[in-house]
Amino acid sequence: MKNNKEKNRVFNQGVLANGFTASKSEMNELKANMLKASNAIPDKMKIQYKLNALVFEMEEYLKNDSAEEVIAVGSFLQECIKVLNVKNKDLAEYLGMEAPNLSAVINGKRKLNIELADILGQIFNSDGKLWLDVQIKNDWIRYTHSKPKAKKKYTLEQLIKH
Amino acid sequence: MRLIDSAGREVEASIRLVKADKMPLKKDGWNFNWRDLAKDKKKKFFGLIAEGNVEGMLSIEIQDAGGDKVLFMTHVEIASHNIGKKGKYKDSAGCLLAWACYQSILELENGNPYSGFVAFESKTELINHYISYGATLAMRNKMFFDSKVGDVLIKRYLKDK
Repeated sequence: MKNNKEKNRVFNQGVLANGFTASKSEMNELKANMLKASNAIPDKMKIQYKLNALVFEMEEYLKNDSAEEVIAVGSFLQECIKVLNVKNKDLAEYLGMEAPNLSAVINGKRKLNIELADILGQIFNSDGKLWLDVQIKNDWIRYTHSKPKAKKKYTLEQLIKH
Repeated sequence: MRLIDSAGREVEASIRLVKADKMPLKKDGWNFNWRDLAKDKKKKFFGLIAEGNVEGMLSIEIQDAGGDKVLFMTHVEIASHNIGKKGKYKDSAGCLLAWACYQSILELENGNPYSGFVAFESKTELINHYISYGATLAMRNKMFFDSKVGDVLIKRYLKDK
């Protein structure tokens, strides 16, 4: 009973962690335990977890309205390729693309098209539209933050009068 | 991510880096003066934000532990109104723990065996509570989440359903 009371008291404070201190030997033991757990996880699954996190990062990026940091869709693709540890050339070949064209997408010199977005969605277990949405978000930020070049104003009223 | 409040209402929430001047203080009913903790520049401080309010705080630190980098979850606190089964947002703790796992995957290099792992120290009284989230007790009160558990926590607490 007393234990339960104490348990509730501590948890009721809302503090779930309060610093980390470990001696060298404790740290070594902790690391050894973690390494054992890590070695038990197949590499294929580690890659999958990493890719899942990258897809989540893209979803979070889309939700963030701030234009402080623009992350090109090609950067996300590059990260995914790094996790897979494949060469751009090999991925391009698998996708049936010319390697320079894939590089151009990664470097932001070429737009992602719907077909490639769909394929990336399949490979990385995500919604293909997500890849396009990131590109559209970035295009919109660039457009709205570009210097206005004597932009003509358009209104419904003018159209009706026209 | 979305939090569900005690009335069953879905609320859009996010976890983001919090600037020192926006951090909760003891005088606001928190156990830590988070603004003081934030003076430690080696750590990153994230807040769980819903409807403009800080619902929970998390600090993490990446340390070089004998050649390999390891992510440590150093401080975690949820706002007093989120505590327990009758708390306003009962998933607030889960979201913060999942976020620490997510940061470990993002921050630690591919090939680092501890990528996706989160090490932390639990109060003795909370060990079983952490085990209920999938944590492993390594020794004494040192615990960790592995990347498999992290993936589950991310899907459960962070991803929109």
